[in-house]
Amino acid sequence: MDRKLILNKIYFFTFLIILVLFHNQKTLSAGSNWVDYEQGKVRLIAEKIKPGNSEYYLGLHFDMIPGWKIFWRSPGEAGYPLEFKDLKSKNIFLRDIEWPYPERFNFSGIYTYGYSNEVVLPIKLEIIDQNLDANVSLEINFLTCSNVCIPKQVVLTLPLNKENLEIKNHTENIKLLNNYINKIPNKVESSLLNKKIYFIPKSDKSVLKIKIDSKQGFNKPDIFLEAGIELNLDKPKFNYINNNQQLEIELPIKNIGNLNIEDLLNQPTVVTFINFGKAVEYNLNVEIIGNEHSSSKKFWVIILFSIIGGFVLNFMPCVLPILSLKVISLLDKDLLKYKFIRLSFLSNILGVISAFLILALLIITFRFFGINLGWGFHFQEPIFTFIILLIILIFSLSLFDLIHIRLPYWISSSLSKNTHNEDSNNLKLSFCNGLFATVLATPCTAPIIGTTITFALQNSSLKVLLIFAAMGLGMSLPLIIFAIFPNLITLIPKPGKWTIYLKKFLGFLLMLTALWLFIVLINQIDLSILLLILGLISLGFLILTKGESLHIRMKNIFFKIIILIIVSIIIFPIVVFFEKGNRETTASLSYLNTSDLNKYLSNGKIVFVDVTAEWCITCKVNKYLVLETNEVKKFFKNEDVIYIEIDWTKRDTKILDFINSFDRSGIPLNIVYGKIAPKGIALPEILTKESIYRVIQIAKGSKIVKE
Amino acid sequence: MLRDQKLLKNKLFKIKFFLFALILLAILFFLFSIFNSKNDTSYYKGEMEKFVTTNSKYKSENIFWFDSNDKKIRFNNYNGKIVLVNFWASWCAPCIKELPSINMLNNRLEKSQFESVIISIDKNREKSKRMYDSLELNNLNYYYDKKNHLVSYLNIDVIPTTIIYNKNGKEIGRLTGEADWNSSDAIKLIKYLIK
Repeated sequence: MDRKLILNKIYFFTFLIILVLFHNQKTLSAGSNWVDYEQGKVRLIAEKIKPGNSEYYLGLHFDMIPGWKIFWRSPGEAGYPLEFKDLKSKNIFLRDIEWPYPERFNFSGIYTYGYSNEVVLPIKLEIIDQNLDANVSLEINFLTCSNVCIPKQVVLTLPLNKENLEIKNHTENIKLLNNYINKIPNKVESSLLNKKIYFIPKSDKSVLKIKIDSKQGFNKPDIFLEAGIELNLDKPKFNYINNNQQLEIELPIKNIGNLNIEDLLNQPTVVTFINFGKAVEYNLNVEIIGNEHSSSKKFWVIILFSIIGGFVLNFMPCVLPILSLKVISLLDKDLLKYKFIRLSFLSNILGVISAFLILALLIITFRFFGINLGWGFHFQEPIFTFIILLIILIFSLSLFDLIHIRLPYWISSSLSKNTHNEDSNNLKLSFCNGLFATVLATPCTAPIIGTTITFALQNSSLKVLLIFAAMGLGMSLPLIIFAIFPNLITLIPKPGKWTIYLKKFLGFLLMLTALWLFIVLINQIDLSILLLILGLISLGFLILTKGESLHIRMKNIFFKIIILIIVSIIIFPIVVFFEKGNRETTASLSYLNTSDLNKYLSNGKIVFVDVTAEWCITCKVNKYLVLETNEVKKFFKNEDVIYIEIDWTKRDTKILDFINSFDRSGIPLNIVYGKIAPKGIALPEILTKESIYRVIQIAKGSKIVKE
Repeated sequence: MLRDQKLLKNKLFKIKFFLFALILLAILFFLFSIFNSKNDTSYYKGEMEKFVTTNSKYKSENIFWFDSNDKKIRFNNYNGKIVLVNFWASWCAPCIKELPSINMLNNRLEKSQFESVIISIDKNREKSKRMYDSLELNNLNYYYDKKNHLVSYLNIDVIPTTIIYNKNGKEIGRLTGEADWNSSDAIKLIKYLIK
């Protein structure tokens, strides 16, 4: 027992002695002695002195306790870099530290750059007279941090007498030094690169964006940016494109609120890019761009967006009544078989999707002839708007039980009470209902729709079709659910008084929609002509309807047809030819020629362009909630903003070209021009006061003042 | 004789009783003090776990610092309140993290009883002022430790360090490292110190 214990003790002590010996050996063989500073230790190491060579690398070798770190030349949001002071070095000339590329630390969202565990900071050194002994003596001041920060001051000395070094020098040291010399970024002439960093002001977080090409791909890439100003950046987001040959990096700016944008744009920014463990360094200029290129988005993401966007369309005020009525119409026939309900919904879904496909085909066809169509383009044709207006009017009136009509099934929809006894008719009607709902949905630009359509319009015909089909799928999602689980319909209470009230309410919504379309039309054709036509039409209806209250009944079908033809012969040319002449707002695009714009901008003015249209509901919402509030008006006045409105209610290829130049295909489009943003910054589709204030401050190049 | 004995017995009893009472009192006092001190340390828990009571020799009435206009601020201005003095720097990430919580704390307690003071130890005053501005610390003023005289006098080599002084300006204790000063633990501790 005793012996075992003693043996154990002996083993332990020999182990300790070996440990101590090794430890000592390390310190002895190194350049200078380790200096312990509690959170780690530091020493100087040097290359072997060779005759005929006067330049050497010296290294500050840190060995830190895990968790503790020191900082890079640009420490990030906190920290400061190591500095050294020559105390009484002899016979040498010391250059600056050549910083190896750092690592990124995250301290609860505060990003800092530096080194942990072990690092060697190389310093170039020149021996003035190689025949004499030299001596390095440095005072280093640095900060070391973990959960607390401690400023440190350490004095290090290393005699460089020839004999001394040759004996003491260690291949291990050289290896160590070379390891970190290899981590010093290679400086690349930036003129060869033809690259830029793009500053993209966004509503939530503005970003810096940079694209990097690499033929051999990417392996653990990282990037560090150093601007002339205090720039706090979030972790970079990497996006690999072109078969991993290109990397798009986005760095969100955290302190945009305290930044002087003009300073950011005028100063070269140092980029340190790391790939395959090697770093390059170059200077790039930052350029502002007002619109983000959506090309980087992955196709499946766009498809997903399309589905979501399509789904959101269901809740737009102009679509909601149509689809709700569809469900209610089926409530009336709760005795029907599920199979029938299923078929009915399926035909409705088909209607929605085919409408989207027709839109896509139209876009592709017109593109083939060199004509670009935007989202909601059909509302620019007065004849189209007019027909839709009529149909909606009839629907809403029938919902209020004011007229009982039996229109041809291709105009009417399943909402019309009298049709539900014919199954095949119902299916066709469901199909039309789907088509119709889609057409009505188009001017209601949901924010997501804008992005996807823009993407679609920039891509191949096949992708256009796929994206539109996905939108159709998204829009028919609620219907699909009903088609799969038709028994869900039994969950809805039996039709009773509430359906009547709901129908009235939906009719009211439809009335509002009609009113809106009426306003759109007034902007497209003269009011008096419009009223005349509507009068004629209602007369035609009075003749055609078999309403009990009026007791007018036409028995002769041919007579009805003749009346219809006459009415249409009168109406169509009027609608087509009596379009309103050029309105002053269309001409306002000419204000935007470059020379005038430059004149405004050089006078320190801000130009705010609002591309809008009567049929664009989102534009109206923007106006009502943001642009025409007293607060924003006052702000525009104070900031000397020139407000230019461009009306796109009617088709205008120049305006469309203008919209396309911002990588958009539809409206709302609001652009801010300023001294530092002569190309304009596009605002998000849904405006907020804050985003306007911010972008205007950015365009001025001034600090963003928080309101 | 018998009477004498009886007297002696009586006297002895009295002494015994007195001694017993004394011991009892001592024990009670001991228990009380234990209980009391236990009560004291029980406030140093959770977020305040790192709070250490100190027996500091540095007199608070001597200390001073400067505001952004270089006006001298004396500690005496704060007498009669519990004072929390936090030393921070723009280069110290843990400090930046905890400052907003001190800002919130200052708003949650009665100004006449408690006040927080944050003192920057940056050598670059402009930079720390910018950091102070960007943090939007509306309930705290900007102060700085000119030439770092204060940290060297108070023997502070690690930041963040927070010192709490009692109503008479005596140092109660220090917390080294960051803490959530807006936590219930911190509020409990300060409220206890106010009483």
